[in-house]
Amino acid sequence: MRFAHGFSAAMVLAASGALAKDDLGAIATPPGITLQVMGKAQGYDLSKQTAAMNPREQIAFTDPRGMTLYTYANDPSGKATCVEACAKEWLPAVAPRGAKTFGAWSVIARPDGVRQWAYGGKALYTFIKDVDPGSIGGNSPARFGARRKNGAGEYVGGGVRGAAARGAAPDVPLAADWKVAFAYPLNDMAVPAALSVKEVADAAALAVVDYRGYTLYAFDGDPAKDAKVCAKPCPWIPVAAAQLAEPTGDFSLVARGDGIKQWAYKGRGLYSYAHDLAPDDANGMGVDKHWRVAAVASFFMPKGVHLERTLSQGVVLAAAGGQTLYRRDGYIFQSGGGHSLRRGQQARPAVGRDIGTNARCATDCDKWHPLAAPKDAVAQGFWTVAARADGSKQWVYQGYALWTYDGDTRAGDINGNDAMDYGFANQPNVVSATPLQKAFDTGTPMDGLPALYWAIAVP
Amino acid sequence: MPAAVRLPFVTGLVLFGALVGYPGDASAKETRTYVISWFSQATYSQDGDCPGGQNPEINQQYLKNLAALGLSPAKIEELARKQEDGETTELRDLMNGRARIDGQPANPFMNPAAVADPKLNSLEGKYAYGFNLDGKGAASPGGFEDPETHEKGVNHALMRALGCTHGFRGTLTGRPTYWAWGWGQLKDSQPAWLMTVTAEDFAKDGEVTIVFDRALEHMRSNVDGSPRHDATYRRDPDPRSHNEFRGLLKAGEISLAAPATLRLMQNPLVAPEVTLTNARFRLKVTPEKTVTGFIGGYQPWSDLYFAFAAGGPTMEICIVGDIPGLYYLLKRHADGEPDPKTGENTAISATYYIETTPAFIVPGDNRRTQ
Repeated sequence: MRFAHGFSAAMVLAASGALAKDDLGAIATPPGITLQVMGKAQGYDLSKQTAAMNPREQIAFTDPRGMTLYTYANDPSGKATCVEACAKEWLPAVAPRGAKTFGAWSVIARPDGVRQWAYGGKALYTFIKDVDPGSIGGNSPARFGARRKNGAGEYVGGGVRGAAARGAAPDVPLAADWKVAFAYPLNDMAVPAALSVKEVADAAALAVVDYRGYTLYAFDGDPAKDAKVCAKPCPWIPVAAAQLAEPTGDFSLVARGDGIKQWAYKGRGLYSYAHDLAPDDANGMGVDKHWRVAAVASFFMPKGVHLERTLSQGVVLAAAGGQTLYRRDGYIFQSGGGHSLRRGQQARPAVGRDIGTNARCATDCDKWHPLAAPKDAVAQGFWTVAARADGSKQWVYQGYALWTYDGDTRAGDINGNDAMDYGFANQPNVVSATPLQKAFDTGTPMDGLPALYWAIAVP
Repeated sequence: MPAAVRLPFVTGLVLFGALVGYPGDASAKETRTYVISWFSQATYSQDGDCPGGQNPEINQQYLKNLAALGLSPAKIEELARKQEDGETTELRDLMNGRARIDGQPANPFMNPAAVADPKLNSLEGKYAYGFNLDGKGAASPGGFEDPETHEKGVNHALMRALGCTHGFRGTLTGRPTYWAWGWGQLKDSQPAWLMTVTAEDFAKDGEVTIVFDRALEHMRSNVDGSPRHDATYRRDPDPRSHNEFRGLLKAGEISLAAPATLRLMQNPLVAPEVTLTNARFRLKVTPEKTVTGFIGGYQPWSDLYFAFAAGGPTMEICIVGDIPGLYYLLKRHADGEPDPKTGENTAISATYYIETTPAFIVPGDNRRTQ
């Protein structure tokens, strides 16, 4: 294989958070703590609007199974007080042996000797009535989909393609004094009114964005001298602050030589990039060593996994060898969806979990290979580990087992994208014996003809 | 040779050569580049080509299907009235579960073989555009006569299968509803298809090369929706959509030197790809210096069934009609690529009509220079 690596190295740095000197963009989660998108973004709801553009408005810290973590208002910093009767419903998020302080994460000792994860000093718990990843207070996101069983085996949901949940029970409010431990939005972070923090998927990070939602970049140097390292026409545009702006939290103001006050994050001047054309673009990533995405927190990536840029579909996840990574997904028919121009469908973790490591491949199956995880691999961030039928382990990203394709010969190739197998039975009375269709019977009930396809894994 | 050479540039080179004394000889090939700006089944629907009648519109077909499920006439009448009055959706619900597996209702689009064959009518007309794919000439079973060339034994079984269903009836100018819908969806939502033709001299008979590719951009249109001339497209290096053929130019018409396989990735909104085996071309070089005409071959009928069935009831009601009925038609008329194990034909002969618009094409693979 002829894989080029020049671009990748810078991307690995940006994505893994392996930054020198300070904690700009530090990894959001220690080993054993995972992340889950909440609500409809779990992907049970197949209605047209949400399948195409399911807002990832909330990301929660979760345990290795994907169960939501909570904090208890009555807990003082560094101490877990939910014990005895309380602990029968609210279970401590147990830190494994060897777990240690990791940024804002720490380990506290419970009265019974159990070591419990804490975030920002607050002890973390799971809720015994949560049965599916993405649940809050026992309300499974499966209720947003067509009628199906949740993780406890109870029928929930009921709308056609999840468009409306007919007959579903009303949500149970989360108990008083309990809060979800959200990774996003960052409710406790002080951010100036002109800026905000949001998920920039292409950078695999939570990053600072401007008033338009455009990604901002931090400059490693003196902003007053940025012209010395930026060839004209310089694509890096200083983020000007209002004259009356005040420093806020980690955000400060830098006086540029031209009299303009510029926003800075953790002491680094902030810039937008002229070739970012829309919110969520991160086209400035990796193009100049002096500028990098102003990440507040970066998402974990397994060793070697990095980001690659493709010709037509933006940034994708890639294996250590440069091969593009793919997920196996269920296709949703969406009139006018622009599937092949717009990175296909958004990831739906619930569907990925249903499909699992059995790709139910029908065409060119010998060209697809699971992304192997080491025997001692541990779930972290959006990554979990699945056991394959042969006993080996496979990396899973946002619910989807990941694969490489032999038809890709250079970094950034996506020659397996959109390869599809149809799920119709050519003979009567065979549906229950067709593995391809079983996937749809469980995870993605459809009203049309389903298909499974290979889709690029986007961060 | 530059990658994006088009007529004006070549003409300029020849003129420049003549001015400076360069012989400008016949070895200077000319390359013309296009974007495909219309693609549909090459239909030739005529009065009287469905002696059994055109297939019923879907609401009428649903009444037949209810009878096939064993409902009494009185019950069918009640359901139809309630559906029309908006009182219940029971009729539609029954239709959306009209397959039967172990006696239980099941999705008919996923399980068409578990629906009783509604025995939709097939086209019985004499004429259809196409090619003599099976080599049997006038003796070809089910063969048509091409209305343009008058060749007999033309294989275009897709015309037989779909030709009595309203959404698929039409002519080259009176475009069939389904294909007009499909192209209308695809042209702005899928990467464009590109075509490059190289000849020694387009004014003379001789060998040509024909290349089909996929672009990285969708087709560019004017504000009225018509294709934009001379837009620039980047060629996608994905090998799945790269096709190179040797062809012949004779009397202004391009054909393939030998049958070949054409594969173009498409948007799965319609079907994931268009594949034609044993493919033939008949493309005219027009006075406007575009290329227009026919491409034909054997197409996997499962791709066509996916195209019709992926949208389920919406497609069935709005555009294509009874989808399990189409499944049976495709299966019945499939006439190529027999499965080595079962002998069942996996492909159906089909002819498509394309129009092109002049375009510039540049290499898309500039990753190293970015």
